[in-house]
Amino acid sequence: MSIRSLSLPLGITAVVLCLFFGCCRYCSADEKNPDEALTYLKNLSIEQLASLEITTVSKTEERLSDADAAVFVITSEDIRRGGFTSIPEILRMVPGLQVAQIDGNKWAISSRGFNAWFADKLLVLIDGRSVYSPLFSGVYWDIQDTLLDDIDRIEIIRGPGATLWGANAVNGVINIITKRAKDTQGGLVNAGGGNIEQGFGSIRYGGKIGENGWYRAFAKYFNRGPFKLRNGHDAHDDWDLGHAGFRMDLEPSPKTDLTLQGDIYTGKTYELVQFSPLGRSNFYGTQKTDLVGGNIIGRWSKRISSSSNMRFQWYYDRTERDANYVKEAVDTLDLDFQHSFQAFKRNNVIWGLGYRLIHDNLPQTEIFYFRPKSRIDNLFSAFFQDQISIIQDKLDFTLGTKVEHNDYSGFEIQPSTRIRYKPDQHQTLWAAVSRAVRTPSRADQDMNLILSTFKTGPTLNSVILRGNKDFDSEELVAYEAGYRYVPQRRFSCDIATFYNVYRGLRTSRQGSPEPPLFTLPPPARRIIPLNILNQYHEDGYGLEISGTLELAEWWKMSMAYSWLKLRLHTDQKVFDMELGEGNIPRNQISFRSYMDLPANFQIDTFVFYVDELPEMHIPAYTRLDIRLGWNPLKNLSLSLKLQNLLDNQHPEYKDVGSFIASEVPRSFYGKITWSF
Amino acid sequence: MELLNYKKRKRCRRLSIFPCCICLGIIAYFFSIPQSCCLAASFKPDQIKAAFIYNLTNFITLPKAGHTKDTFIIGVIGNKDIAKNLRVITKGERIRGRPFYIKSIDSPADMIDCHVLFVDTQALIQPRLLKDLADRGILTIGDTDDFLKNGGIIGLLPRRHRIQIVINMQAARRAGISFNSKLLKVARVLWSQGHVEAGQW
Repeated sequence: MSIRSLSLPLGITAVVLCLFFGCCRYCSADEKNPDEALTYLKNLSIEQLASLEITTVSKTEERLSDADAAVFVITSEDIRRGGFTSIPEILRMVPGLQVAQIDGNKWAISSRGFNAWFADKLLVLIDGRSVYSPLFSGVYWDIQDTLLDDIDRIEIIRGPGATLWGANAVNGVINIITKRAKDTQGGLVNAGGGNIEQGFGSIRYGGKIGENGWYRAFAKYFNRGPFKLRNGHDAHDDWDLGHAGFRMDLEPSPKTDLTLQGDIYTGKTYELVQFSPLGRSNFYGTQKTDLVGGNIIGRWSKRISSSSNMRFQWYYDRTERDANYVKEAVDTLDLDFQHSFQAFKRNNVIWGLGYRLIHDNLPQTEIFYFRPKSRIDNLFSAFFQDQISIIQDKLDFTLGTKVEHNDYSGFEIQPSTRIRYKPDQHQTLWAAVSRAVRTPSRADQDMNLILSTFKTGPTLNSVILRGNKDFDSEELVAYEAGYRYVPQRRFSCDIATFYNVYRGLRTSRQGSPEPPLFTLPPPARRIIPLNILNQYHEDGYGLEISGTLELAEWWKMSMAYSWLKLRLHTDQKVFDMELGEGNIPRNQISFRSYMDLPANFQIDTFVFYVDELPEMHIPAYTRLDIRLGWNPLKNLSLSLKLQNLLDNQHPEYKDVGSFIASEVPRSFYGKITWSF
Repeated sequence: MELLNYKKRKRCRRLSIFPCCICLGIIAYFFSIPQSCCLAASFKPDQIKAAFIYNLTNFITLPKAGHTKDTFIIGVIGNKDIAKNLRVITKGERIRGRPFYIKSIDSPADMIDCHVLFVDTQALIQPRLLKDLADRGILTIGDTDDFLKNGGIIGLLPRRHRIQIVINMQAARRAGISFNSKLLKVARVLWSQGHVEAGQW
């Protein structure tokens, strides 16, 4: 490795060390003396006391700040100050996550490598509802939307989360959690627009139902214009979506919570495609996809005591996508029960049961068909996890496993063991070994996709990517360790490192051509199959560092750095884009700064650097986004967001199969928010 | 040719990022955090509760009868840390000319001469005893919903990462305690028992 290629990691280390020691210098003073804290508190007025935040009230938050995993939390403040308009863009700040925009409405998002449009090793949940597609194993980011003002927080867990969350949480889990209806009372109106954001607006209203109930309802719509192709032409990748939803929370008793929430949406995405369907010449043009869907979630939770909780959740989700070449409709019904309690003083036990029913319908199109066309799948799961405290508040050991049965690969066992050591209340050291699997998707086993067609003599040959009934789960064994130092709320630092070993990764291999099929009218047809199979082994390691620093009451900064290396164990040339290092940046840095200026102005800066994607020939890029905000009145805020200021346009990802990638242009939009 | 340009671009970016990182680090080191901001960071609930109890004493008027001692006594049931914190806070302080005395309570008999009594979550106290304490004009402070429901006077209840003061006015009237209007502005006041039982908070 040359000195030059080391300069970036060295630079990052320098920054982290400087930040670290700089902060220790100033924070160690009052740490020695808790009496000073009391003197400070004593002199506060009653109003000031009432507005002080206490950090250890919520059990979940407590768990996150000293979690024994690589956890990153995006708060509602981060979302507001970032001025974001879509969920994928919010995720760019997270260390260890790869986010690349493929075109105006598609993203490749993954954790710790394997980044693709259908990144299949990252599980995403919105309010406990899985949005991971069981058909193509990945997430359709173009329909994952909600009113961003209503998001309470986004928790990102890098590394396997399968013991708690189940299959497909191989490299990470993203948990999007919306606010309770109680916290979104009153009205909120948003409207804005710009060059790419051609117009967006939303309205939300929250009120009370009787004495112990709250509700909110919202509607939103946006219309996004096209990006540019490399040659500067329009990429015709517009996107629009209308979305409405509600949430009701009831507290029939102080210890019981009931929630009912739901969403419906409809929209359209466009993309440039290049196909060569059976017996036809190349098709190059715009494809429209109609998106329709909705879901409804019910949740009941009961606090039995301070250490014991019970929760039952059900949801029903319907997702429909309709394009010329790909049509799908999926219904999902999910039941989930969890119970946590304390046993024998030293054990924190959590266990649960789950059932999911998935019904799909995939009509045949010119290039795509499934055998069978429609299928009903069942998923049964159970998990158990015990956190044993070896030395009270200092040393914990966690052991757990998930056992599930699916209709594709049968039983899957996904255990994990974790150890956590807290030398004092500000520091956490943790290490973990876990196993997780990516279970076969419907496409892996039942798909037939015509990739290309060509003629040899009188025979018409079709190359078909074909599912394999014997395709089994991809497997990961992960070794992780991390250190977190949170001396004060104003400074925190988190380091995580991992070594992952993958087995049986998916690839496709050409099978022997089938004998020609003579049809009337001629020509005869012959199929050349590309069979999907588990073949490659790979290992990877990496380092993720993040830190926050509040330099002053009015200035907060955050930084994240990730370094990632993956090694595919083969000497052959591999064409699968999602394998190996071809699709991941080795270095990524992000830097955020939130500044409160006088006269209620805010200036928020977001810079990130993404290394090159060598096999895709995507050069490294640095992106600068700036948001200017102004609150002229207490309930009125105006903001202007400037994105991608450093270049006219840059690519972030390559074409995916037949879909043509476009480049991210410079853009701006203004936004007005009024609450009442 | 295109490949060459691409490599050049890459190199330029790498080189320019390194000094940037160093500068940033140095700025972060020298741009020091003022000490007071560190103090304003997160506090333990026990510290905040102790500060609340001390602060509340400035906003209450206790009935004259029964409180003849020349010290102002705050009793704490079930939480030694709060008692310890209160001792630190009230050291050298006086209220209406009287010094504070903080007492950890072990038996009901110890409660009788208190002016203010804090009942921690961990301690169980019977509704009848709470009513009896109110009849004696003792201000009871607790930190659970149930405490108020059972006839406690002031609740310091955790609500969304903050502590909210909730006053059970009916119990306060029973004890003959009155509050400064400034406190009533900050607190949430439950005027009747009916409200309390509905458990709307």
